[in-house]
Amino acid sequence: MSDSVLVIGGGVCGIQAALDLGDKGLKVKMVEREPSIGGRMALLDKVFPTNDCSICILAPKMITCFNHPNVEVLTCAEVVGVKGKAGDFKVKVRKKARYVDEDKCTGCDACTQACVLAGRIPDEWNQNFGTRGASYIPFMQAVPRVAIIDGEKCLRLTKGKCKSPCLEACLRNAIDFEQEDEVVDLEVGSIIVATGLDMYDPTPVTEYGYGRFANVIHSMEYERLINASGPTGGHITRRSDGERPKRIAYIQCVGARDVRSGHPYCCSVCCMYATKDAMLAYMHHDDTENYIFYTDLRAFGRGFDEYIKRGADEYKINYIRARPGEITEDPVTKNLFVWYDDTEGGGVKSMEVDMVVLSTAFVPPRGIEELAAVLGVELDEYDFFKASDDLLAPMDSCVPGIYIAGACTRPMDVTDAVTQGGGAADRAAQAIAQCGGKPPAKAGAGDRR
Amino acid sequence: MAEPEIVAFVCNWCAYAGADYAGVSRIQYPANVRLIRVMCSGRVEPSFMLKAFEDGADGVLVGGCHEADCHYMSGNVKARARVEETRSLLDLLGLGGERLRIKWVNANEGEVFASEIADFTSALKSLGPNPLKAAKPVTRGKPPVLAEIMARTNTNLCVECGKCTASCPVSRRLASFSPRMTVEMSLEKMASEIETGPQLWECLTCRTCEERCPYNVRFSDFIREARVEAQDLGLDGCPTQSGQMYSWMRMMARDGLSQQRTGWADGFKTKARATSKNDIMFFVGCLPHFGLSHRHVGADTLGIATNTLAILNAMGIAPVLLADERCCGHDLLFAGEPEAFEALARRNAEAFKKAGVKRIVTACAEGYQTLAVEYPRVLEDWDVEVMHISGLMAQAVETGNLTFENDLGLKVTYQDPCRLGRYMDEYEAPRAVLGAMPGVELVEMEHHGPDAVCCGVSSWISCGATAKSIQMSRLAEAKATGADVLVTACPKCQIHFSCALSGRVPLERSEVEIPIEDLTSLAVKALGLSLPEPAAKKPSRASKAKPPAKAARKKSAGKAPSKASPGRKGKKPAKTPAAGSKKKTGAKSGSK
Ligand SMILES: Cc1cc2nc3c(=O)[nH]c(=O)nc-3n(C[C@H](O)[C@H](O)[C@H](O)COP(=O)(O)OP(=O)(O)OC[C@H]3O[C@@H](n4cnc5c(N)ncnc54)[C@H](O)[C@@H]3O)c2cc1C
Ligand code: SF4
Ligand code: SF4
Ligand code: SF4
Ligand code: SF4
Ligand code: SF4
Repeated sequence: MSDSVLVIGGGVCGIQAALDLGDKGLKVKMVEREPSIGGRMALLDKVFPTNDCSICILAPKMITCFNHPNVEVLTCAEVVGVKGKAGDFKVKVRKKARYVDEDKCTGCDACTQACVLAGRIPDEWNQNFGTRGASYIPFMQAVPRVAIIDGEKCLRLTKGKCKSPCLEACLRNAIDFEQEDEVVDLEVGSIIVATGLDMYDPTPVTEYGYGRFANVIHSMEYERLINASGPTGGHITRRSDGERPKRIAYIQCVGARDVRSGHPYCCSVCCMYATKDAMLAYMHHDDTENYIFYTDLRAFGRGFDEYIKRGADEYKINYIRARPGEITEDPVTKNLFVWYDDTEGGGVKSMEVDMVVLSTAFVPPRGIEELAAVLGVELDEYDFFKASDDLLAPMDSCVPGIYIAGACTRPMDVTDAVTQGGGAADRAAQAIAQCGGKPPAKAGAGDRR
Repeated sequence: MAEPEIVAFVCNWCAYAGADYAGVSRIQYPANVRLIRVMCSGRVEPSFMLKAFEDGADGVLVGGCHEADCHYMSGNVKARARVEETRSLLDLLGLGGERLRIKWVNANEGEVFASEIADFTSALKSLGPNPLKAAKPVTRGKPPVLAEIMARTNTNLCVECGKCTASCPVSRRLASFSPRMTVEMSLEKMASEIETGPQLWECLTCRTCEERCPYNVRFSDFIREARVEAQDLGLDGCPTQSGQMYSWMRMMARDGLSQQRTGWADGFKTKARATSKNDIMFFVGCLPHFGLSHRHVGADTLGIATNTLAILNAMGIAPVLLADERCCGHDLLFAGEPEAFEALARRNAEAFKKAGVKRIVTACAEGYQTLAVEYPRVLEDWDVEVMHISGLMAQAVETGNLTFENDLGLKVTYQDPCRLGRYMDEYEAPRAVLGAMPGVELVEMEHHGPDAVCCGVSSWISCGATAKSIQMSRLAEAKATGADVLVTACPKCQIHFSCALSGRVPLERSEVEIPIEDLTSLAVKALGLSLPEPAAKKPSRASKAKPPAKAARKKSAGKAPSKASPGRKGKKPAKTPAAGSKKKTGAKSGSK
């Protein structure tokens, strides 16, 4: 019998669950695959519907979570085995070597600058717009703010030869090339899965030319470009010439509501975030023309319709009801032509723009099948985690004691992910109580607030 | 025998007047002829002649003015060329070219007219009746109703997003044409407006819209099925060459014909029946026929057939060739005649079975799609594996059974035929074959793979200004790659592009003019094969078609060919042979 809860995934949803549980006095083990917690939201610029700075509101939560006395965070870690039942799960976690001692590293950045590969490796945390070295810190606000050495790129680790200036640069002797992957055994009473979402790779939608045309990007790339802590310091620039795009087209439902791509569902968030993106472009430069090509505007939440209306009225966003057929490129200027059938005005038209942003579908995170197999829980037809009852038990998986929350259950926005995180925390605490474990502490007890 | 029936197309100025003169001069001649007066013999298209035979005429006579007497300069000379071509076609069909004659008759040559009729009548008596006369034409079934078509083609799932229309090469040029609007009309149950509207015949059934429609609305299938009812209403959307192809295709669907159509293959290793070791058949399809009907645009489709045989022989395959093979039926199926298509399918299937054929290779994208997908759909016990020559070659290249040795020193670009690409999801095999040819560098056009643009005409429907415009921009795209040759893997692509270039072009010629060659022709050159001498005269005149090999253009050797494959979203349930291409499976996309 264990009083601990395992939270898999350290996005905003998992963080909320961990904080709620920790505040209730329960012990939490958080397993995050990446070197930093924070998930998708840590990389966004602003968030609708409030247009708050995303990292500004998330970073405090990330830090509180990491430093919470009841929460232990394992990064670079994945769950590889689960045995037992509610109240008594035996969990195996594989923690990949970071080659940096987390307790010693201060995140001073000396090694990352000293690395011989600095500036030579595309930075996936910046959607490959920027570069990093083999030793790097994922992003400025990473938690824990600790360097990591990329075992697949580092010359010493791969080829055995490098003068390793990183070692010398580190005044804390934190770098440890002897570190090995380790398996950690955990005992927990219940489990919350909050592994979030991935973005659909629009390359197969060949008609939109992603990967072929320099100035066709997807919305996650856009988020990094317009982000002040992103690779361009918040300046949206064209990949082809570094110029600022003055006319931007956003194409909705790319790979979403698309039977052919295997993702027939609506992602429920992209109509809103595209509006946000266009607002941001306008806020940066009010001579930017924004065109959102949509099939239906799915602005379903409280205040969402008003948000769209504000977009049209105050930010002069042009909403065009059409799903473009294809994008072609001017070989000289690298400008793009969006070909669309104006379903309201009528007729096939082409619009010249400087940049196209594809609002791509939310898809289940990579590795979800393996994780589901390890947990013994079911996936739905689209490979999201399946609830035992969509209406009445949306956070219960099909296995007692294992709960699902956030964007790994269906596409959702931050508000919903946080709501589900809190809900799942309650369910997980209840499970432990029912198994004879520690009852959730009374409100207020151990409250950090 | 019953008296022969002759249909005579006679020109107003000479032959008709001559017949009239015979009448007023009371010159006797057999009453076997029905005269149809035309303003000029040049008005008589092969479709007229073929239609007469299709409807049971035993003989057809074209009568015109003597050479140099034509009232329209050269109509009669053109008529003669057409008659020549059509006689060859009749030979191929096994009806016999002798049943078609052309005769110059002056207005005062009543005697000449009368004796020609007498002579023709007696010749036809000894030939016997047109074998099609006794055979019933294929009976039409009940056309599908709109609701059924909609359910089968998912039009009721449409969200009216317009992606189809924005993707369509026709809509981009013809404002009145919109697949979205047509689908919307179906949702509003406007059946008769759809069936009688021009939308129905402008569609190229190229599947570009379908490839991109997020809701899997199968628009080209919708069009195909809606055309059935239109045909019943007597609408056929103005087919090219006023439908001569349909005539010969429909004839092949009937009893009575007994073709001996393999004369062109003399000198190659072929056989009439499959053996246990060698059970591959080469389905030739209409290549010899198109070679005749489209010689004038410079397309050499018979060359595709001879090249394919040469390649197969070089691979150690002596394929089965059927002397009485029928048209695959593709064009009739898409033109709204599913019954004739099925009749053809049944005849062919029976013949394949009789010959013990288990595997078929085609050199034509449409035949490939039809045999591989449409035959199993309508035939209960179809168990033949179907390959396109590109797939077979790719396979042979991979196993080392086919090695290209000649360095062609060519930069080429490749036209994905709709039927091979979007219909059959085969993008890799032709590229693999090109990639295996030394000195051949493939440069892709802006639109390639699933985004390739159709050659502008499909199933002999709607060849007009829109088609020409599509062809011009496609050719310009090909030209812009800097390639020396535009390679295709479908005889129709070759025909339509050649046709576009055969007349006046609306652009600078240098912007669009590019040699067009079939993949098999390039393969023969890269293999260094020499073809047997053109077959002897008997029995087919098709052998008149020009020998295909043109000297390869020597250029500095190209770089390694592109291995890139634009295939996408493995999703078509195509019954694909084990061709050298690996199909992608799983609808799920990768993610980042
Ligand atoms: C471009 C874009 C713009 C957006 N804009 C907005 C907006 O403006 N407003 C808004 O409300 N929402 C927005 N969203 C949605 C928002 O990002 C999500 O709602 C939110 O991130 C979901 O939180 P989550 O914790 O469920 O998932 P995530 O944030 O995806 O976090 C999941 C975490 O789990 C980890 N993980 C995954 N698999 C495993 C595993 N097997 N083992 C361990 N850990 C694992 C991941 O590394 C990640 O850290 C946007 C999304 C995108 C893509
Ligand atoms: S060993 Fe070399 S490559 Fe590896 S992190 Fe250090 S400096 Fe970079
Ligand atoms: S490993 Fe050392 S040098 Fe690198 S960030 Fe950490 S403390 Fe600084
Ligand atoms: S939210 Fe909007 S853009 Fe996203 S899938 Fe739904 S309709 Fe398309
Ligand atoms: S693309 Fe498909 S869903 Fe969109 S309008 Fe066309 S048929 Fe309808
Ligand atoms: S099949 Fe081709 S021509 Fe017909 S509507 Fe679709 S895209 Fe247009």
